[in-house]
Amino acid sequence: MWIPTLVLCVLSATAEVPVTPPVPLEAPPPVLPAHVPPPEIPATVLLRVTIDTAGEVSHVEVRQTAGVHFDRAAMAAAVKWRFQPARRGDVPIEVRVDVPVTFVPPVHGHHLETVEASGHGPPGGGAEMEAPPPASDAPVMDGGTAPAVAEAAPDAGASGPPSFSTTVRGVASAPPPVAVGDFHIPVGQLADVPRRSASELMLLAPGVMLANHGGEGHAETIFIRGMDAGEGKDVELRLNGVPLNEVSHAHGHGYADTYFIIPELVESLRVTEGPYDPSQGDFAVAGTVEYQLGLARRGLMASASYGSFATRRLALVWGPPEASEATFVGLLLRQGHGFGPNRAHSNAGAMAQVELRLGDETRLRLFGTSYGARFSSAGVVRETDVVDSRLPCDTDPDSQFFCLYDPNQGGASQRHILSAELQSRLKRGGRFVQQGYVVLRQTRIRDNFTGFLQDTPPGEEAQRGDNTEGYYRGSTVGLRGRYTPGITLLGQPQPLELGYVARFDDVRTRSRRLRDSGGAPYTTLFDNQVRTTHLGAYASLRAAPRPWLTLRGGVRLDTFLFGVDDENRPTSDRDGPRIPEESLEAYGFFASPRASAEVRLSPRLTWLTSVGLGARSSDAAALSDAELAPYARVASGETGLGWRLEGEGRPYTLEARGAFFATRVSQDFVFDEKLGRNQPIGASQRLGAFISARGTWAERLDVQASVAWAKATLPVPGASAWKLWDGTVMPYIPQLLGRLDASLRGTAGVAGEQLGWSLGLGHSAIGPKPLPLDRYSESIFLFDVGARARWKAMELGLAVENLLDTRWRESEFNYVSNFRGPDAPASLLATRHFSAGAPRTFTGTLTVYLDLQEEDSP
Amino acid sequence: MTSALRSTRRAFTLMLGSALVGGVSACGLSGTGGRAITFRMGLRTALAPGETVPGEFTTDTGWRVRLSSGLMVLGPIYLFENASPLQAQAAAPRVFQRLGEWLLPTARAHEGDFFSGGRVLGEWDREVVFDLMAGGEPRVLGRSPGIAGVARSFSLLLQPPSRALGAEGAALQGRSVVLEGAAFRQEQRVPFRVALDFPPPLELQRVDFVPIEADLDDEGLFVVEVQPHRWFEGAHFDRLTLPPGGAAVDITPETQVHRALSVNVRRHTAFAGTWQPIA
Repeated sequence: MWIPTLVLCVLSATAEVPVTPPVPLEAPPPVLPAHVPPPEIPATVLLRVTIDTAGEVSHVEVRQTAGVHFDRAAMAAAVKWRFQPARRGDVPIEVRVDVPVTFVPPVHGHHLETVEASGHGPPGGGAEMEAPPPASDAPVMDGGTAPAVAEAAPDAGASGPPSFSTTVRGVASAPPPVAVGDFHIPVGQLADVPRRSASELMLLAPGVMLANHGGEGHAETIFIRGMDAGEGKDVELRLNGVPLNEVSHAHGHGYADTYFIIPELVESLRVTEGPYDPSQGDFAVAGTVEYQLGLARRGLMASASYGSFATRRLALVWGPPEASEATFVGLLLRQGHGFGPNRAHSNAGAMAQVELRLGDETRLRLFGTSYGARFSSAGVVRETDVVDSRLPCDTDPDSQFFCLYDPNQGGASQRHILSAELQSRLKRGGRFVQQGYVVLRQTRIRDNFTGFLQDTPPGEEAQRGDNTEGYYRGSTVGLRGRYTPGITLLGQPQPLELGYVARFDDVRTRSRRLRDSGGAPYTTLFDNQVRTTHLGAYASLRAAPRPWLTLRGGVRLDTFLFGVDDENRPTSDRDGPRIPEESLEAYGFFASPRASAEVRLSPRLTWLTSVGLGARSSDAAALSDAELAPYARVASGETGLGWRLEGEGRPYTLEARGAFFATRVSQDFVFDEKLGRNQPIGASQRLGAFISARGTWAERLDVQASVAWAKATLPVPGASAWKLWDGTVMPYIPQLLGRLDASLRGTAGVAGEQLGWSLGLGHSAIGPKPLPLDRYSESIFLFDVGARARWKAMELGLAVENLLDTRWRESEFNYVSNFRGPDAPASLLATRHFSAGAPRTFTGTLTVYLDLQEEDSP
Repeated sequence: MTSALRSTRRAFTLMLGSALVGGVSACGLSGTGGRAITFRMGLRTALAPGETVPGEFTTDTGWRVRLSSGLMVLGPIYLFENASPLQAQAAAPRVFQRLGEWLLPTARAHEGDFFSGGRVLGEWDREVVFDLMAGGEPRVLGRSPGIAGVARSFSLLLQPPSRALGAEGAALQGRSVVLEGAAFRQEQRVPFRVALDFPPPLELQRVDFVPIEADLDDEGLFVVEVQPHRWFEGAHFDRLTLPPGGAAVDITPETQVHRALSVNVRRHTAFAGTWQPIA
């Protein structure tokens, strides 16, 4: 996020014989490496440039330094400049000129910023020069948008010293990657690809698969890097810095829902696969996903959609043209009958953010969101019942595939977030960010995974049913911040970052069994009032002992204090009657070091190796009094290459990455159908690799593709921790995943009118999943396509998801169940259960854009 | 969807699927452990030693029993990987085993069923009405999913017939077992009728610990053998009060014979199991 301003003043010497000064032809601006933070005060490097008789820069030296990185960036740019050579009369001559190159701090974060040109010399009279696109000196894996040149106004008066100025408008570059698997993913043009919700944006990162067994509005189960990260237990999710994981949730510790996020407002995602950044906190076992909101298209956008299964969607997004992308309002209403019985859903959400400037050095972002949803769920069905057409639906295969047992499944969810973030620039490039937030949350989820199996009815009553209600109500307040002192160490500006988190959760979490008939609760599995205080801090240090080598290292400390009021204790014990409540406290502490080494093999090719420890806090429901709360620890390492090609006059950008990784988790969790939540199973480990690539071409074509492989195993007891490939394969975790997202935009003339159009394609390939008993599932191939045409302020769109109408199983389990009824003899043989994936759906959308600026195009 | 589109879709899916399956399976099976099989489940009435007709046998109390009819409802049937705790331990001489059990009896500190059969390797998850007098080849109930491996014990449930059995179950008139026959000893002849009920709780419906040694594999046949000749052990027909006129006596729950039957039918000796691998 830096906005360099380059002002070149080319002076010519005066002489008796008329001298024509050198005229700039190409002057790509300097680009700082992404690991170098932007200056917080203007930094000027004074270069002495020798321009030879061919107009090439033959020699550059620094006459006034601004620090090693600024000097190098300025010199690297200067050697690429080209001029019309200076002439005495008609004879080209070699001249030396002093050129100040000024790096100006960004005025605000990630967003496009206009900076007044700081031209030198008298205006007018100079030759015009079109500034070329930005240079390609950005690190090959920054994943962000490199600074862009917006305008250039050379100015070389005949009577004065020739000069020209180049004003650079910068777009923030992403923070430097901590690993090859650390992706900053601007959504950009790939927003054209049809997606059901903002959750599916996570598919833009390699090795990610989503599955949903609970209905439209239920959190997605996230598979990432060969890990079943559950509904958030092993992946840290954040929205604009606000944590979304919910501690001790009744449906699973770390449950996190991203369905409420309005997709139109998602500007980018940062997906860090693995625990390699000290800023990654609790739940970052498989990695961290952070949604960044912003609205690039200013004005008002209203869209209405209608599609298969009576799906209706109304979106209203507004961003005042006078304000930055960080100021917006969004409303979203969704409703539908669902693609089969008992899948209706309806929800509404609002998101708003305003950015306020408090002086030149400080800005304040206020963000809020409110969301409410209700959904029904078909849950899972037994494969044997579907094959034998025993489900209570029509007997044709489709009806059986989408049928259900228990209509009392589904849920409701409410979420409210308020956040205030204060960003301050300090002297000498220092930076201080403080954020405070409040989250209010309530969910109720009803699942029935086993039918009539778990109940032990009193007396001679029949089983009452296994429908399990998970109820959760929580309030969270928190602070987080980071501080980058404006110091220089061993020539490295701002090498240190300090950060902290403080979070308090006050949670009621309860699980009950519901009667099959009427849905009344008949027994309580647990009922806890949980209060958790999480304090964490980290420090990271960066050093570049060699020009081609950058080392990063840091350590993170996390502490948790758990206070649990168990309100489901017995009313009597062996000593007699007692109060059915009990309180306990537990404390936990964990230190997690993380480090990476980046080797610049060439200007475009980087080799990055990262290692790190991470942790997931304990589920308070499983703690004992005065226990030193255990953590699930993860040790992870990866090494790989990144390559990036952009700039230098190219209208396209290409980026590719690939890496191998290994991960070991000390205490993994898998789904327990009896409780309807995740339960511990011991250690697990993974080996894997991925390749991803993204190419963009002049805002017309954007293609991203990835392939990932991972093998997850449960280690043999007592085996060496280095035998990462031994052990029983963990079922249901896909070993091969492929994903393709592509968007093509253009314009066409129809009846004398200009029509803008776009085509979007999304393809997911899910390889055979290992299943219990040494079997594999079938491969899944899903295609989603979308097309839009825009005329003036109107746009029509059509999206088709699951184009080939594939019958696919979104999630699969293997366990014992009895759905034949309370009187039927129970099956004790584990068999496959699945939830059906959505069939082909059509959605038509009409969008109206108002108050648009002229340059906005579809 | 047109057939052309369907064909294209199938071809596409087949092609990509084959590529992925090929890529994955090049490394072997999935490695999750175990192997799925499908086997057949069957039922038959075992012949008593030395007998050639089902339903004819001599009890340990010296009564010659000849059943004229017998119906029962049984199931589900579960095949476990763990051995029955009642199975004789070949490694230890019986005398030492009994001495050991006397000195150090099995701890049963927790409530409920103390026998953990381990993983279920196969099952027939339905009830079935079985005619005990049907001789000959086993009655094959159908195919059943399972897991390859050695099953060392099985259990089954004896329950009242459910409505799902329809007319077949109605013949039992709500009873679990209905027998008719006659018992003979010297000059004594006792024609009898008996019906057994096994209402909940489940613990009183379950027949556990039946020892078997069945190496389950694809397409084999597991046969549950009903052993009515073991049901009448210890039965004293002479304690029954015969009705006048030589009519059959209804063996009621308060009689010794009924109690003996009720206990014996739930014992692990009341049934046996054999495995017939595919020829």
